[in-house]
Amino acid sequence: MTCFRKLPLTLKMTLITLLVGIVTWALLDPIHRKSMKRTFGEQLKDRLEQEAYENRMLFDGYVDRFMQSTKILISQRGLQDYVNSPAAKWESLPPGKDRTIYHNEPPAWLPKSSVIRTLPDVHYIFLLDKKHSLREVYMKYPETPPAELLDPVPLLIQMSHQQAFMTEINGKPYIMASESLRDDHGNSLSTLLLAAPLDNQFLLESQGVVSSNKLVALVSIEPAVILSSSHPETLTPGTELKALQGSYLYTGKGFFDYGSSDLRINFMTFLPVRPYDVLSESILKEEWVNRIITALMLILSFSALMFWITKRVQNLTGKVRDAEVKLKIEQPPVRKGDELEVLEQRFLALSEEVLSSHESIKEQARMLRQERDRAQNYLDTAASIFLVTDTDHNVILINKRGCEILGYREEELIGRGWFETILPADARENAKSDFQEFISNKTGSEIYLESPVRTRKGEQRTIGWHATLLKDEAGNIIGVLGSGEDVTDRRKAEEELLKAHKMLESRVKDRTSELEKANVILNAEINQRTQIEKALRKSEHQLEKAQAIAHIGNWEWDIQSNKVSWSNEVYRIYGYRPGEIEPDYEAVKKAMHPDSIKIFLESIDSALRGERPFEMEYNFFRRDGRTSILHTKGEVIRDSAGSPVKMFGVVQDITERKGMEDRIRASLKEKEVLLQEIHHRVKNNMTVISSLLKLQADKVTDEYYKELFNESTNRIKTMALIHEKLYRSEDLASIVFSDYLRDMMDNIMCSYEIRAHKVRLNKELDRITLALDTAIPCGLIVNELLSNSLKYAFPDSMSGEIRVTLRKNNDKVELTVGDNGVGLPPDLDFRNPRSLGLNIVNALVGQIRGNIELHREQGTEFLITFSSDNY
Amino acid sequence: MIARRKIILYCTVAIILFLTSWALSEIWHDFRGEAFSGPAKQLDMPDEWKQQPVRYENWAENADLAVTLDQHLYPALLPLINKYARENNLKIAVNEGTCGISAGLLMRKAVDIAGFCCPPGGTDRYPDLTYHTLGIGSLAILVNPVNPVDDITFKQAQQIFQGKIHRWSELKTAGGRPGPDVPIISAARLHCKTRPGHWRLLLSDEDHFSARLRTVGSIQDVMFEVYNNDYAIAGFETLYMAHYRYLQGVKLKPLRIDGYSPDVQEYLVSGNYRIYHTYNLTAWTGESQKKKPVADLIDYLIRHADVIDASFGIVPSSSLRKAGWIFTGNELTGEPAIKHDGSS
Repeated sequence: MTCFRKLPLTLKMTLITLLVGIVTWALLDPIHRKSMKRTFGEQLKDRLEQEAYENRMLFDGYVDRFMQSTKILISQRGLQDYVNSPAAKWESLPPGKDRTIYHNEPPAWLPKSSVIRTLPDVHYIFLLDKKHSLREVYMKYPETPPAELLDPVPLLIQMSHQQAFMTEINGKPYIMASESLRDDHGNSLSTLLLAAPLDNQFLLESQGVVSSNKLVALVSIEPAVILSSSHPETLTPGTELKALQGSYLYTGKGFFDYGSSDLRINFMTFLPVRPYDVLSESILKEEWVNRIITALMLILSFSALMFWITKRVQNLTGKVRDAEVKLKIEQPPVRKGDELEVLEQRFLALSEEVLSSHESIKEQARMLRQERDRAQNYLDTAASIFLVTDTDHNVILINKRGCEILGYREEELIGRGWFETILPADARENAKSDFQEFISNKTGSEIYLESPVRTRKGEQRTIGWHATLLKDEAGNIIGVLGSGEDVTDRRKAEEELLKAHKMLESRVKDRTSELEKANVILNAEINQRTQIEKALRKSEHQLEKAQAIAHIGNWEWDIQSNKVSWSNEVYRIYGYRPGEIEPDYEAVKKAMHPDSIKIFLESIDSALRGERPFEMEYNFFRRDGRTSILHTKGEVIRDSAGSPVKMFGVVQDITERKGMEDRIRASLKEKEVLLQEIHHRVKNNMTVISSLLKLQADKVTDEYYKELFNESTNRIKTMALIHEKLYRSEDLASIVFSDYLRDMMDNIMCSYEIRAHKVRLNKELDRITLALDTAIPCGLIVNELLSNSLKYAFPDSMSGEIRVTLRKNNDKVELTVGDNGVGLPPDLDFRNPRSLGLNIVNALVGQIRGNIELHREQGTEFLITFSSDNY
Repeated sequence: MIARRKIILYCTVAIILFLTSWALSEIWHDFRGEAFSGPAKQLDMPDEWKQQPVRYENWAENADLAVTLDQHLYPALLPLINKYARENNLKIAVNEGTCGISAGLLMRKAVDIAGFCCPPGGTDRYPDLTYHTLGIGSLAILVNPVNPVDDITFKQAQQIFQGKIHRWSELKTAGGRPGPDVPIISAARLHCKTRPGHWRLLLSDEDHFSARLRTVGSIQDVMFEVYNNDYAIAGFETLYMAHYRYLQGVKLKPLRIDGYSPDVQEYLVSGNYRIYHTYNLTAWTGESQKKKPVADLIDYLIRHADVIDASFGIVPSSSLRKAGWIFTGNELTGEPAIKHDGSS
């Protein structure tokens, strides 16, 4: 195998091609030959079918000619004349075998030989009389006819009459045709019968002279044996069909469609296979030779092509070697092989090297780009000016900061002379000489100097430059790199600073003396603060003590850090010693009553949202198992944005207070019930008194005294009504005075019904609540004044109106009772009245520290004013 | 002068008479041959022949029955015969042949039953032989499918095969236009010349057919004549032979005769389609044959003729009896009385 690899490419390819060709030929040739033979065979079968069809057409046509010949002969005038002539002598001579006339030459009743030759090959022509007895026989060949034909059965004649009939006679197939000569009445005068064996000659003749090489045969069905053939030397009669298999292709039809044959024989066409085999072999051989020649030509052409390709490969290999040398690539060891293999190895090595170099170059370029970009960023973001000029002081590079300071765009400076563009005119010469001196390397490779520049706007600034010489790989100076800083402001600032420094020194001196004085004051202040701190600590201690006494602790919650701090009392309230645990509201929530947790969280959230302050009471399960009631309250501290940042508040153990509140509430409840009962009993007692007075009044007949009893009754009812209102009121110390007045005035109106039915009472009462001490006097005042109006204002059944108003006027209450009646007597001094009623009124007004006024303009109107402190 | 006029007059009358008689001869002479032969006439055979029993040939050796059938009946009846054989546990040898082979085997007394596609002729009526008609089947006149002519009259069919109509342009197509102006090539297989029926139902004698007629020997040749010539016309074969036996996949076109198509059985049964095969089976009536189930098999075949595959186009004798065809015993011997304007 190694030796094969070392072979030159051309030789190798040629050998491979030859080998492949030979193998392919060996494999495909039999298939090809078989396919060719199959194709030949199919063509042969098609040929056979076509020939069989044509041969049978010829045979059928030949058979048909037999009948036609019979008709032609019967219509001959010669036959007709002979039959009617005395020469026939049939009437006088009975038929018989010994009296049959045999002719070897065409007799008088047949046409001449020249005509007979045109007819099919008829072996025998029989002339029968009108009774179908044989009279004369023409034998074309010197053969005696079969005995059956010498005495033809009428059936035979009938079956062959007007048709060519094929049947077996004496074991041999025969063809017969007959036709009768008839007179004018249609009676048969004579019958002509043509007969011929279906022998070899018949078959040959049936195929025509031109096609005399066709092989046809009559083959019996059982056994399949050749009866006769057109070429007996080839297809010998008596040969079994199966013996011919392989040598011949054959096909045929089993019977004749004429309807006039009872022969069960095959008419078969044969095609010898051998000539076609020989033909196909010669064609294949010819083709084989052609293929060999073609293959050889192809191989030669291929070899030439390969030789040319090999030369090209060798050239290419040389070029690869040259490239290796030029690129100074180490030439790898090459395995021995053909030219292509050598090229492949060299090329692979070269391509590996090139690819790795390419990758390396790509990576370096990428890094270079990164560095450049980074450097560019540095330059652009640097606060200093970065400037690069060449040796002719033309600008090569300037950074963004430089452009900003100078007020130029980069493209306006690149390529232009630095000194001419940027420096003021008066500074250029010095700058240029300094530059020249620098780049001549006389002053070293680095230098610092400051130079003025003029910006685009004309502003003069000072730039401090750190300059460095730029050199190439050979060490030649190619330019200058400068890093500049705008020191204009700094210079100004330095000057300012100097001035300030001097000023400062003088001030320092002054200040030092002041500080010494202040030091003394400060010491005193420190002492004072120390005292304050002590007081503060004392205060904190006191606060803690106060908290412990009041059971109030304070807490603080840093919302952002979620840190909680408690005062010592808070620990105690929760059942812990101060500092025992880290303040944690999760622990607190766990100890809360479950019903309180939700309220606690909602209250916190609500306070944080600013909806309402945080305050709640909750049940708390202490560590020692006791249950406490705690009250907590808090405030939210918010930042400038309104967000909550802290929350601080207090928590108090109100368990004891709650207990006391409960007890007080219970006690108050008892007192309320008692007070209610008192009001009820007072009212009942007054009702009893009122009823007693009324009973007494009923017994009095004098109207004056009855009136006095009535007045007293009304006064008592007035007071009783108040107690009833108080009994029914939730507030046992005060009543809604307006509601009371309505009821009370209605009662009075009822009691003075006879006088009251023509008087309308107009009430305008504000809803005012009065204490007991004020309500009773006011009620009695209204009772007196209303009664007076009813009694005196409308005499003689006069109609009118009584007005009663109750109004709030700032902190005063105004009670008005008036009427549009006849009015008070002009000489009546209501402040010093003689009547009991007005006296009562005045006394009661004084009791409530009120004021009473009388208006007489339209009837009578009393205005009582008293302070709202009473309600 | 007067004599000349007389001569002219006589000549004119003679010409008129000649033409008239010729025309009348054309009109009166139908040319249609006999459909059937008379069953009474039998062949005169020797006594030895009459006494000879049926002896089978090698192909029917050891069979219970030997049957030979022509090439039309063989594929149609073979399944039924095999079924009968299975059902009755019989070995029945069946031979495919022709009418001539059937006649030959009958003459040699080598078969029990012979099948014919033609009515028996004078040479077929052997003594002690009875004919039993299975049915009839249309015989088509075929043209190439490219031929635009579809329908011809019976008279035109006769004239075509007589050679009196020469070109297709003398006939009309379905659209009423004349056919193509090309010569008519006529072909026919004039078989069974000793028997009535079949092609004789168009023209009674082979001499009535045109001298230009291409006579062919086999059924296949009839088909190929039409297949290979666009303007050929050929008769007289069954549609089974045309479409199924020889030219599978090629549909030769059968012409309608007087508007009646050969593939519509009603037309054949009614007698309107007038060219047909007559399928007959024979049975020996001798004493020795009575031991064999010959009559039973024939009766079975006739009774089951209606289940024969419709592609064979056989109209059973039972339908013919109902339609008024004339039978003598089991043999069809006469057509129904019908005027050929369509009415019966």
